[in-house]
Order: sequence, then C-alpha cells, then structure tokens
Amino acid sequence: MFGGVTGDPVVIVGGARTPHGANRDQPRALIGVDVGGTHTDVCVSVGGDVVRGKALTTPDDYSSGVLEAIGVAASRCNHTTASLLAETEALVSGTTVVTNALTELRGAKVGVLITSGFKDVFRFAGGARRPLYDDHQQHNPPDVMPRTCIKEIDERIVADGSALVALNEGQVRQAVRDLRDQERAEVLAICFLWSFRNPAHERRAREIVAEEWPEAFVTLSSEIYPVIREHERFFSAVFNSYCQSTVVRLLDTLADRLEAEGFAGHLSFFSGAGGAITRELAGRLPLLLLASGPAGGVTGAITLAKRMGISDVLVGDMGGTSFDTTLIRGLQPILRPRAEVSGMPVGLKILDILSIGAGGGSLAGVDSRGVPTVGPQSAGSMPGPVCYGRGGTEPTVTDAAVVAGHIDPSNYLDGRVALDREAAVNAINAFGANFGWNTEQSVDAILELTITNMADALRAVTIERGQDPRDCTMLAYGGTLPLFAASISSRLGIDQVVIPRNSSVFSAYGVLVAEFLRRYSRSLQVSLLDPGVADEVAVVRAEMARQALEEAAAGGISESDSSFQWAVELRFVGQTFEIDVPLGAEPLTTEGAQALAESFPERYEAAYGKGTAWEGSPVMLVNVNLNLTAERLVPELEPVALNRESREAADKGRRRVLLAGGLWREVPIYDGAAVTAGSSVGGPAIIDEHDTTLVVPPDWSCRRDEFLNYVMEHQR
Amino acid sequence: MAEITTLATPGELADYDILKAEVHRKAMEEITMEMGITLVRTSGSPVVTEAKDLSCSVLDDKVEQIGFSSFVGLHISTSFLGIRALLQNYTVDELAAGDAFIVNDPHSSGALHEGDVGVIMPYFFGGELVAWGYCSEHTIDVGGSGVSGFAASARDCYSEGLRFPALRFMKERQLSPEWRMFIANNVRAPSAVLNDLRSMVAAVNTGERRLIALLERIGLDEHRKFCEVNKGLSERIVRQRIAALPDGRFESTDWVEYDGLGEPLLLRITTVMTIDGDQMKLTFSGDPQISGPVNGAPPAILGQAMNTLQCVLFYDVPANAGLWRPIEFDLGPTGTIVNSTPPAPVSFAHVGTGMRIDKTVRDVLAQAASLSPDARIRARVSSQPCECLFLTTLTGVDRRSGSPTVVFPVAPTVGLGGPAQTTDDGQDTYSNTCNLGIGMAAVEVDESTAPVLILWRKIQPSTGGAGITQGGNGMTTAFQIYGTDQMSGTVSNNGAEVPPRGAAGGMPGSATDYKVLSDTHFARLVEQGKLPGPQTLGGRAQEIPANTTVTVHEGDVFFVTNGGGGGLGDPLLRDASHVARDRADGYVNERAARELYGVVVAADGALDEAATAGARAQIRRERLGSPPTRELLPSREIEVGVGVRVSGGNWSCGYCGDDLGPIGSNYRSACVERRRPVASTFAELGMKVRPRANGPVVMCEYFCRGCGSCMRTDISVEGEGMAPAPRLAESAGTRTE
Repeated sequence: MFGGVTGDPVVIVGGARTPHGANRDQPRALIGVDVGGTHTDVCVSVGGDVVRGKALTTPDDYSSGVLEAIGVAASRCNHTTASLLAETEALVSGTTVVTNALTELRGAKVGVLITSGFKDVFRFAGGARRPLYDDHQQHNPPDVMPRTCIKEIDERIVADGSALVALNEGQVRQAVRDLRDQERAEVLAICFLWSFRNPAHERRAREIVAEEWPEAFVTLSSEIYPVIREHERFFSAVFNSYCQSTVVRLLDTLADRLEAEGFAGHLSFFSGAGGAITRELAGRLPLLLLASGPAGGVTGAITLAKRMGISDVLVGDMGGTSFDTTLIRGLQPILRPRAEVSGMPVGLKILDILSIGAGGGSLAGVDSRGVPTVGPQSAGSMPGPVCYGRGGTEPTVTDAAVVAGHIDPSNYLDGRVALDREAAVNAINAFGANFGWNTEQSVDAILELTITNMADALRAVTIERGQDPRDCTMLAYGGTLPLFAASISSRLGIDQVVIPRNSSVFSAYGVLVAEFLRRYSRSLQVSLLDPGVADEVAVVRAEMARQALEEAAAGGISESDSSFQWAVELRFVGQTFEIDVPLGAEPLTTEGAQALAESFPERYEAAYGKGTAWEGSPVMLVNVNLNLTAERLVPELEPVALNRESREAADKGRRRVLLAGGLWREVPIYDGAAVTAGSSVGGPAIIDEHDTTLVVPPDWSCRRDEFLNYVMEHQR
Repeated sequence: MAEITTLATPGELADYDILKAEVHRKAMEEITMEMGITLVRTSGSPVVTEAKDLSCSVLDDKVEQIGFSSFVGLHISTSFLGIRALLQNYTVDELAAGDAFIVNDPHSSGALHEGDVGVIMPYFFGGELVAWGYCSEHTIDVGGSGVSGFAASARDCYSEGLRFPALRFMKERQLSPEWRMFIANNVRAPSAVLNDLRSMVAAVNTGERRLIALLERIGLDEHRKFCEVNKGLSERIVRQRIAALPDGRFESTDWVEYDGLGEPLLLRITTVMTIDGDQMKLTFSGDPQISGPVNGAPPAILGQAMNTLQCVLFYDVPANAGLWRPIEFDLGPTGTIVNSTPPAPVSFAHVGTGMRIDKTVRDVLAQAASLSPDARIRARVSSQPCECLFLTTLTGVDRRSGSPTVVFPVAPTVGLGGPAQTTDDGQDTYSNTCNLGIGMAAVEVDESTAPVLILWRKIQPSTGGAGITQGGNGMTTAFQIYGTDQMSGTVSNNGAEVPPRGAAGGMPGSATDYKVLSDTHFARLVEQGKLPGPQTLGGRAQEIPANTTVTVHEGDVFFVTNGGGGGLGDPLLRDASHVARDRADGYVNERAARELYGVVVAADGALDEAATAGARAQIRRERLGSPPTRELLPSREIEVGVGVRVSGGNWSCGYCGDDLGPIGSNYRSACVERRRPVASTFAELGMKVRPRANGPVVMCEYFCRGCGSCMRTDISVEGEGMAPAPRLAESAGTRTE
C-alpha cells in the first residue's frame, strides 16, 4: 500500500472550460503534489488522463521523493520524467511538513529577542487554562525553546506607535552573539511589543542581525502576522523560524531538481487557508503552509462531493503520520480564525481541521501509567515500520495490519518491496509481553486503539458540535484509511463510506483541481462617517488589487481570468469583533459609506436579534478583504459504463485475515485493478489496490460507482 | 461508541437511543457555547472579550439546568437561583416572548456579586413557556461606592451599587426607556454599560433562536425526554463518584482576610464533608457577618463548592441539574459570613469568602480521595490553588478619548499558580478554580483600552509550593498609570497572609501581595534608555490597607506579586533532575532547590547526585532530630497524592507503611510535629507571605517517626489546636483494591 505505484489511467473528456486538444488554453500537463510525513503523493493531469504516483518521503532531500513519485506517474502515461516535466505548465505542492514539525515540536532551536520584561509571554500563552473542568488537563505549554534562548532587549514602542525607549543596539548585538555562540541557536525570531503599529525596532534589529550573523534566518513578528495581541504574533514569529529549515529543504531542493530535470512551468505552494502561494512567499513565511496538506484534501473532497450530490461530508485522511478530519456542511468548508498549535495561539486563519497523531507509522507503546497506547509518536518514513526492515524496532499500525493479513506482505508495491512479516510479529510480541498478550491479542489491541482514536476525533467534529454523524457520508482517503474507514464508521453509526478513486493521493488531487485562491486583508480602522473614508478605502483597494494581480501573474494567471470578491468588516466603536459585509466592484463613495453605516444596525440585529444594536455608537470600517479567485482548467471525469460481471476476473483467492476480536478467518481477496464499475462484493472481503487496501468488514458491502469510487455501505 | 453504550440505563428511562441522547446533550452545550461566543463577539469590554468573565445557561421549564458554558465555573448556581427569584416576582402568565429580565443581587436575585449582571429570557415554543436562557457577564459598572461592582469600603449592601431584584427591563424586544435612563443616570461610563446589556440580550437571543430551531427539528416531547435522560445520566455518574469516596466525615478550616475596618481581621470558615454511600453533605459554617464586603451569600457559596467538585471529582460529568441531586448543602443559620443577609455588603462574596470555600472543599476532597479504594479516585487528589487575588477597578478620564473610562485589569488575576496534580505540576496561569476559560488579556489590548503602561509580566520563581509535583508559579507584574491625570477606585486582596496548602506532605505555596508605588525611578531609567524591572523600579509604597479605595496619579505603579499553588507529596521525593532543570530555567530559586528539595547542583548547573542524596538524608535527620529508622516503600508503591493510608483499621504512613494508630485517633499525634510561622520561614526561602502582627499564621508539618517523610502540612493560626483527622465510618476502615 505504500510506495511508487500508479493507478490506472482514467479517461477524461472535456476540460472545465474548453474541450481538451490543441486549444492553447488547455494546459498540456498539471502536477499536484502532497509531501506528507511518510509518503509523497503526486497526481498528474496530462493528455486527457489523470495518473497518480506515490513514493516514500525523503526528509533529507524532499525532491528525491517528489521526483520518484513523478517518475512513477510518468511511466503510467507513456512519459519519462523529463518529457512529462517539459510539458508541465504548473506544479502545485501541498505539504504536511509544517504541521508535523509543529505538532511533534521538531524544529530548529530558536533564539528570541523580546521586549524587556516579557520573556515569559510564551509560558503564559495568553492564559493557558483550557475552558474545561478537568484539572488534569491544565498544563503549562511546552517550552518551544529553552528559557535561556529568550533574550530581553531594552526597547519600547507604546500604543500610539511612538518609541518610549529607543532600541538598545548594543544589547541586540550582544544577544545575537550569545544566542549564536553560547546557546547554539539556529534561527532567530524578533518579538517586540506594538511592532504591528511601528515595526522600526524590529527592522533595525534585523539589520543588526544581518551584520552580526548574516546567514541567520530571522522572522519579524510584524511581518508574519502584523496584528494586535502580542502572544499570537510572537508565537507566529517563533513557529515561522522554527519550521523554516524544514520548509526551505523542501522548496530549494524541489525547485533545483525540477529545473535540472527540465521543468520550466510555474511552481507554487498550497497554503493552509486553501490557496496557492508563490515559492518566494513560502520561503519567507513558511508558517503559511501550516495545514496545507489537509487543505488540499478538503478542496478535493468538496469537488468530489459536489459531483456525487452529497452535501454533508465527514472527511477523513489517514496517512503515515496523522489522521485529519473535518466536517463539510452544505459543501462549505469551515475556516477557523486565530488558530492554535498544541494550545499555543498563532493567530492565522486556516481551514478548521482536527489532526491527531494516528497514522500507519504511529508507534504502539506503553505509557507511564502502564497503559497500552498507539501514537501520537510516529516512526515516520525513516526508520518507518518494523516490516520495512529499515531499522525500526517498535511496532506500528502498519506492522499490525501486515501481521493481521490486511496488507499482503508478498505483494507490497506489486511485489517489488518485500515486507518482513516475521520482524513485525517479533516486535508486536515484545509489545504484547508487557500485558501478557499473545500475537493475536496484541494485533487486535493495536488496531482497536487506532480505530478508537480516530472515532474520537470524528466525534469531536460532529457530536461535540451538535451534529449527528449519522446524517453524514464519510469520505475517506489517504493510503491507510481504507483499512479502517468502515470500522470507524460503525462506531459512529455512519452507514455510507466513499473511498475516492485517487484515495491514496487525494490531497495531491485536491491541489490539482483547486481553483486559484488568495486571501488579502488590510486593516483600516476608520469611521464610516469620516469624510476621508472613501479616499482611504480607494487607496487601499488599489494597492490590494495591484498586489493580488502581481501575485496572480507570478502564478501564471492573467487579469482576465481573475475575479475579485471584495468585502469590508464593520463593527460598532469599542467592539473587538466584526461583521463581514460584501462590497461591489465599484468604488465606495462617501454616500455609499454613509448608507453602509445607516444600514449596519439592521444588519447587526439580523445577526444578533432585536434590541441589540449599539444605538448612538459610530460604525467603524476595520478591515478591507479581497479574495482573488481564478478558475483553473481542471480535468473533468466522464462516467464509465457499468459492468457487473467482473467479480471473477478480480478474484485473487483467499487469505487468512485477523478480524476484529482477534479471530482468524479465510477472506476473499479482490484485485482492485480488475474491479469494474457497477460490481459489488459483500464483506468480509479485502480489495487490494496496490497502494492502498480496502477492508470490507463482515456486515458491510462495497460497490464501485461510475467514477470508479468505492462506495461501502453498512448492511442492517 | 464503546464508552457511551456501556453506560447502563437509568431505571426509569429504559427506552432511548443513547447516541441521540448524547447528540442532544452536546446540542445544549453547543447552544450555550454559541451564546458565549455571541457575547464575546458583540462585547466592547476586554473583561469579556479577553478575560471571558461570562457564563451562559439554558434551563428547562422546571428551571433545571440543561446546558452550561463553562467560562466562569461558579456561575453554575446563578442561573437557576436568578430564575427562581424571577418567579417569586412574576407569574408565568405575566411573561411573554421578547421579555428580558435583569438580576444582580446576591441577597435577592441569585447573583455572585452586584458586578456580575445577568439577563434572563423566557423561551416560548407554540405559545408555551418551554425553557429559559440566562447569560451573565462582569459588567463594566453598576454604580455605587465601588467601581465596576467592587466596593472595598462599603459598609452595607445599599452603598455597593444598583441592586436589581429580577425585574423586567425589556418588553417586545425593546429595552425599556425608563430603565435605560435610570441605569444610565446611575453608572460610570453609561454607554458602555448599556452596550454590555445589549450584548447580553444578543446572547440570550442566540440561545432562543438555536433552541427553537432544535425544537422544530426534533419536537418538544423528544427534547423533554432527552433533558431528563441526560440529567439522569449525570446524576448517576455523580453518585458513582461519591460512592467511591470512603464513608466518613472530613473537615477543613480557612480564614478570610479583611483589613478595611481598621484592624486586620481573620474570619474563620469551616467546611465539613460527610459521605454516606452515594450521598454527600457539605456543611459550611463561619464567623458572624461583618460590615465589610467579603461576606459570602448562598449563590457564591454554592457556586464555588460545586465548581470545585466539578474540577476535582466530576471533571467529566456533563453540567446539568443532575449534578446537584446527590448533594445536600447546609449553610447553617443566617447572619454568618457563609450565609449573610442584608444589610451585609457582598460585593466580594465570591472572592472573599467564596474562594476560601473553594480551598476548603478542595482540602476535604483531597483527604477523602486519598483514602479511596479506587486508584482513579486517588489520582484526583490535588493541593490547594493560590486563590489569593489582587483586584483593582479604577475610573478616570483617558486623555486619548477625553471621556471617563472604567478599568479592570484582569491579567494579574490570571497569573496565579494552580494546584499540583498527581499527573503534573500545577499550571502557572491557572487563575482561580472558578475561572475555567479565563484568558490573559494581551499587553497590547490592555494598553489600547486603558490608560496604563505595563512594565513587565514575569514568572516569580518558587512561588509554587514544593512537592513531588509542584504547585504552579505565580506571575509578578507592574502597571503604571499612563495617559491620564488621575484615577480612583478600589483595591483589594483577601489572601496575603494565609497561603494555599499542599497535600500529602507537599508544601504551601506563596500568597499574593501588592504595593502602590509613587515616585519611582521610571522617568530616570527611561531617560537612560532602560526599562524598569522589579529590582530597579524603586519608588515609595503608599501606606494603605489591602482593602480600600485609592486615588492614583499619572506615574504611580501597581506592583503585584502573585502567589502559587500548593505542592503535592513530600518534596524530597521529587525527581532531582527535574529540580535541576527548573533551577537552570529559573523556575525554582536556589534556596528552595537546596532546602525544600535537598537538590545540589554543580557550578555548571548539572545535578550532583551524590551530594543530593546526602542533603536529602540530612533533611530527614533534621526533621526527626535523629536518623530515620525505617526504609521507604519501593517507589512504585508510593503514590504522589497519598500521605496517609488506612490498613487493618489503623492509619499508616504513605511513604514507609509505619503504623500511626487506630483510625479513631488523629494520626498527627503519632508524628513529629514542627510548627513554624509561615511568613518568616518563607522569607528565608525567597518565598512570600505577608507577616501578621497579632496571631501569626503558622505551618504545621507532620513527619513520620519511622522514615522522616512529610505526610501532611497544615496551615493554621497561632492558638488553634491540631487539625482533626478524617473520621471514617467503620465500613471505610479497610482499604480494598
């Protein structure tokens, strides 16, 4: 289920806008990439086909894994890597490397320069107490860097933006030297109070760093997140530096290798807010890639759900390292403002995806209370599961699936990679010995805990938010989830599970089909009755439009293909939260602003009820927002004819498989490549898709639809 | 849904879908959360938007809670008490959709204190009253002699502020113009106060809209059924938890500090918890009520007690009326500080007496839980959190706006050390037990909304009590009056002299203290390009009581040093490498590391294991005056929260198993006792408790004669006798695993 195998070519008819063929508007080839913690996935649209490729992620040089996966895809569409890349107009890459680095707290050693008196801002974290009763869940935030790496600097900007105390440049110089030489910091973050209002001290400190330690990567809090509330801004700055080396390793190696292999198209990256950003921006502000991989998947899920006529979808993605889930209601994703990483606030607005450490590489172990656990620690791709034979010694979820017979060790990657089942059995037995369990009991416990962890996450995004999961279809993708999707759904009473056609590379597919989207926001803070409001808004809008078009052009998108959605955020003076009000394309006039102010109480009471508008309080225009979107030419799938007669062709015989409860049973195995649209099987059964495996439990059935998705249904 | 379906069905509710019940419960919780979010999103007050000093509830037509959003936990009591008060004043026939009612009086309408104003809205469905929405926030002002509802110098409740006895202030969704004018005429910052009320109306509107939408979907019958199912399920878990505590009587005493009447008073309160099967009784008693505002009133007493029970024992039980059913509360006769009546001033009811209730309830729970046969219950033992709170509310004219403004700096109330847990050290930003969802307003938010300059916010090392797990540390902060000529208002602190207790031999934490400084070195330092710190600020402290009204001028500084939580378990058994790491990071000071933990580090900060072992042995000898005669139990048999055990009808040492006499006796009598004044002892250790001239506060440590371990440290007042041991029922005399 892991490694470089493609799926079968899918016949595509028609692009989104024009028929494919010689038309210049039709891209010759597009590549979507998702660099995960364990696997690198690729989805290629070329010559009317969609093909996929998969390889192990190579953290020392991410480009190797990407190129290997592209190579696999190329071989499936009569291309070489070079010939495919030569035809490729754009390559968009999503990645989970930022999310993984932050959630596992694996990053560079950050040296911090901070306003004197406030070094403990990271410990206080805006108040670390969670709104929960349970005292056992109240902890101090983990130290992202040792307390000795936080250096206090005499300087102070105050609320009006003026400098009360000038920057002590000598102190900055000394602190930078100490951080480099004594503390052995690797990167820096500069975190001064009120820098979003006046960034002069942060910028000057960066100049000093450039003199003292020119090669150091520095993040200014005023650059990554120029917004009031220092703890969010400072965490953003620290995390941006913390994950920078990981991201640069991806960006640089990828760009260099692609160029060396003849790629001359546009390279861009997928942000956690659900749109593409340029390589330059990703390198400078790598934190924007937080939750990027899952954002690609969610985009793909919405496209697929629309095509299947489903509106409420519970999305699950399980790869090697993590399980990500989110709810899509009415085909709309949920955005979460002021996001947090492990309880530490970073302020950014990203898709609301719950991520837990449950993947194929999640390690089974014993915690300090002597209780068996699975995850959140992961074996990653190196050493990977024990059965890979790369030096892993602790059993993983994948090892349990191999021992249970769910994954065929002799046919892994079409038999190209031999899995060491014996080694997996030994590691699992060593784990089980802690509890006096035999092999079957140990395997059953690991799989059971994995399912429980994921069911809890799904419960959190549905029941915890007052949504009945039984009203949803589960859309399950990622290399590992088809093993578990039906079992998890049973726990929650969900009766239908869709495993998409390109399940194993679905996030890469989502990146490929996503429209171009970039969000821009500018703070203004001006009263709608201010005589200068129209001019101020006009100036800001002109600047925003220019920046958006420039960035779109850098991503290969012309002005004529771009569409702008404008909005303003309004509130009564004194409030801290705003209401979005859409704005037309035409300029805002003084009269228009006045009309907005007059209609605001009514709009406000529509949201919060009668009697709630703040009578007599002026209305403030706080932010101007712009979404630039551009339709991209995307592959559109044509339904294939149904053929119910394929079961025998797909029959690969039977295999002994450990079912829930620890009982062995002979179970029919089907070859996914030969399972045609319209055919169906009853459980228990296993469908071997080469780069993923579907487990159909005893009371479930599975059919293939006209788009070659698998639809599993619970038989009541 | 393994964990849900394994719940057995409450007898009278045999036929229901457990998943639907869970979805309904979550929907109720979600509705109250959304009410809270609405309040935050519509509010203009940092007390709401940053500190989350608010709560929201939905109640059914029996006036029983069915959903509660837990930003401020002690509000668990105020909604139903407020609605019961409303129903004393109005009949149901007099109510209509679009009505809203205002409550804020601890004596007559269920409020914690006058500053926490509540808004109640009856919800109608098909013309029938089916539910109630309740929302409360700390309102920026309520008039009276204090500012923002804190009247430190008030001598009766009549001078504390406006007191609303559950009255209608809104009809047909229109704010009554009469009430609007009356309120505006009586408060500082009238438009901010009216906007606070409008925000609360927005919150109860949201609850109404969401609940009606749910009723339209599932129907009233289904809704009522699941209200009862979920109350029954909560009640069942509460009964199971109580039954897991040993039957018997557990007692704890604490003191409320108040110095606003001339002499510094210590007012005694005692909490007795009696466990009988799956029933709990909490009996509170206290000194006679006084003419200072620290008197407790029933809403705050009940709220603090229940909230502590929830954080410690019912931590996972959905909050609804089922919580209350197995518990009997006895507040004794009226006229005491736990059950005061008018004219007693009560604007600090929840902080003054209320937070001592919190501490004593936590203590009796720790005593009982440590003797439970159930390991999961023993794991819930915790020390006392700091609960020593500096509060100030000020008013003046901010030069930026030119208009009067009310300031309530909340950040100092957040950086208070939390209770040490069996599973982890206490949290540094725990605040008080009741402040579940409190946030520390950003420096930038505080400085943009109030005429202040914040000079620092830092961890104060070693303020957390020493233990195997350590109490959370407190924060020191200073803020300067900046951008206004002068401000005046209230200052208070009811916890400078009586620090929080540890448990199972853990040490007390530091208490909170503050100073108001004038003539600091600020201007000189700034001129030199420096920012002031705790050591360089200088200045002259105003000679004022801890609880009073103050006037401060531009440049004056409030310098606050918060306390920490108590420790858990004998500090000599804390992982020495952890102490060394905390030492290097600066979370523990040198003297505490050496004298409380017996940890010796080399010049480079590395742990000196041999010297540490020697120092720890020496401390044991000093405790006993002679070398210990007994070996400690193997480390896996020592439990972090268990200082004393019961076996075979006798007390025994939790660290070595030495016999401490029959359970009818006080195990303390079998120990070596060391009584020391807290203030001077702490001063030597770099910790802090304010000294007390008449009747010093003492700590009483009890060491096992066999092994020299510390089993229990009490906090008491000179002249008090030995604290009583739990009186266990015979059925609880033997512990079974």
